[in-house]
Amino acid sequence: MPLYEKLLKVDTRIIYVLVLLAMLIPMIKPMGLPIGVSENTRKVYNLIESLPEGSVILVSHDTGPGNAPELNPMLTALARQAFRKNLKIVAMCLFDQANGPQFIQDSIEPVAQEMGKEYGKDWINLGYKMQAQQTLKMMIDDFWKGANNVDWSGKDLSQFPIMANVKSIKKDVAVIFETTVGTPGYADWMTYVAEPTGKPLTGGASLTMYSGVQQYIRSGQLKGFLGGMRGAAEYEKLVGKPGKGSAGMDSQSIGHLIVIGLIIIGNIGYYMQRKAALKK
Amino acid sequence: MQKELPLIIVFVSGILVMLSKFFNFWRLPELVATLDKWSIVMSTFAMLMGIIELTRLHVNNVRRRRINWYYSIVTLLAIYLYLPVVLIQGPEGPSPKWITTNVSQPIGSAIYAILGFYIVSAAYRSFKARNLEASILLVAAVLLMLGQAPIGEAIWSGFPKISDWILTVPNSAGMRGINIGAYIGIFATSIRVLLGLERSWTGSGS
Amino acid sequence: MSAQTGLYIGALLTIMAWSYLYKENPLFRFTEHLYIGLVTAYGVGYTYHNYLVPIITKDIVQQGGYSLIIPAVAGLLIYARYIRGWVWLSRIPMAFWIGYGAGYSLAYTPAVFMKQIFDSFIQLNSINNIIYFLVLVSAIMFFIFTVKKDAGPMKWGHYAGRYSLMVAFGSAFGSITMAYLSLIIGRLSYVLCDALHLIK
Repeated sequence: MPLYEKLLKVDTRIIYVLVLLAMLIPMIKPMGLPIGVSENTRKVYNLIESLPEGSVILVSHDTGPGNAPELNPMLTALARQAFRKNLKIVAMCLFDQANGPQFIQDSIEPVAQEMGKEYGKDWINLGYKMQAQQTLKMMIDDFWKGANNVDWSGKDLSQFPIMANVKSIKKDVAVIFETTVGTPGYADWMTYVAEPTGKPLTGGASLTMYSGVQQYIRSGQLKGFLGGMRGAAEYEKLVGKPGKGSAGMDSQSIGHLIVIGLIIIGNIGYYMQRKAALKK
Repeated sequence: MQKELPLIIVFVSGILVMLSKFFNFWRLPELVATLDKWSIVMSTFAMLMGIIELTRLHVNNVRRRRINWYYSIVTLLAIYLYLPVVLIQGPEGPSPKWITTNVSQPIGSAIYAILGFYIVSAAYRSFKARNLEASILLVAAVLLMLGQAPIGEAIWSGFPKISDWILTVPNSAGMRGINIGAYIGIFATSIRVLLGLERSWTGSGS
Repeated sequence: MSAQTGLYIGALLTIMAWSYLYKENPLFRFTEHLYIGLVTAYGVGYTYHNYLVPIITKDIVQQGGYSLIIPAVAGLLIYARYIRGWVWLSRIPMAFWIGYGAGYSLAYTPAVFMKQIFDSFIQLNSINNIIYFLVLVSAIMFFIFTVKKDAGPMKWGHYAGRYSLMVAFGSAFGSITMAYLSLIIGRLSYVLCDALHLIK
């Protein structure tokens, strides 16, 4: 078999094994590569940092199980920064009914317990809300009505002290922090809440959407946005406690090199094949 | 009337929302706020559609012994054994919490992560610099990947700057151009839907 | 069951799902069908507790919102599709949702769209701004199909638009590849660190 054929026909399973090893080896032996912090991440951090004590951050954790490794660390880091500054978190999700509410619990609850924050007083999980457009529009003027008056366990909102001061987005919410992978997502928050009310909208996106979000950051409609696991790692660095985002960066680096290496091998094989065909 | 009534409802409901955004007469915003709540109530009472369709599909698979019909039994058992648990304990109950954390989420994440392997394999097989366009795409992708990972910065400090420039200048401009076209398409389609020119949702085409 | 047992089960299910990478097999099929069933059941249970019960007990009974019976009946009409001769009734709630959604798009999207347009009129006082403007204009020119692009400015605009879009798609592809690699890292971390404690 000519060399170019060997280069072009590497078995798919060998590629899968290469990718797995590329991810595994840095986990076993971390390289500790330094992580720079981008301008977008600084904007997000500075926006939260500028909020006065007691301000309410409305979090919309719109992720599914697929993108959770990218977006859950963002929420954990936000919770850490917010609780350090004695800010309140009202969390909900619009995207995944089955997993979203549990992700919110898993991301915020450990930090809340560590920092002595109480559910219902310092933070609350409203769970999944259906019909994003109508829900968001209702929440602008009557938050409880938009949330159907219950938290994620079905308990009435009047039982929770935090909700006594959150009656509308217009008057009571300082910042909207949105983690997004698709629709419903940042576009709905921007269209139905941020534009009409002028509330600052920030958050993070899965890298599958990050390139599409740039235009809104440029126009100022998004006040900075975190990008994938890298953005989560940068945010963790600024908040001062590395977590799952930072832990994955070495593996991500080697993974990228493997992808680039495979693309180069494929192209070398392609050009050798073309040359051989021209010779014939 | 069977064909006309849905089209009238489409038009009226759409027009009401649009008018409430720009005008404040006849208590229009309050009417639309009421309709917002009604929309959610309607969705709530329509909640069984998914489970009914899934049950019909899988029961038919089992009855007719279609290929891999035994997996349909897995789905049906999962639905009808788990549903009472969630109804009794609530979504935050110990059993639903345990199943969501230790069964649903791992499976969902794992199935989604399979795409990661496919992307790498697809990049190797099809990402060839066959012509100028493909070469531009390739170079942009490679520079972005090098710039976004810490290893790129370790190799050369210029990679992150190039990657940021690609994201914020040509990528942002190109995406904005695509989005402007998409927005115009959204407007055109929405107007067609409101005027009843787009009837594919009724099952009878345009 | 203990938390650790749950992690072991999660790790096992992850490996069963990933067995698809070797080839299609019963283990993967089992996990796939199990997932569909569990998620569907949870969705119904969640809607029951967080929407149906509060709407009936609080909104209708306690607060006397009996007008909500109208949308309740309208929502139930969707099941008319299973009754022969009455299928057309199921189009009524569909029509409402579709018209409402279209109305929302037309009412609210222009504000976002126009801000994008306004932001595009930038001062051409730097190389980056000039490049940005040229890329944007050429990308828009690419999508104009009502004018011939055989010759003149439209031809060059069309070609420039193609290359501009290739840069955008290349960035998107690079980003997507990074995103999906993150998902693999997340799963590996779950299996090897959280469940099996093989790695710290």
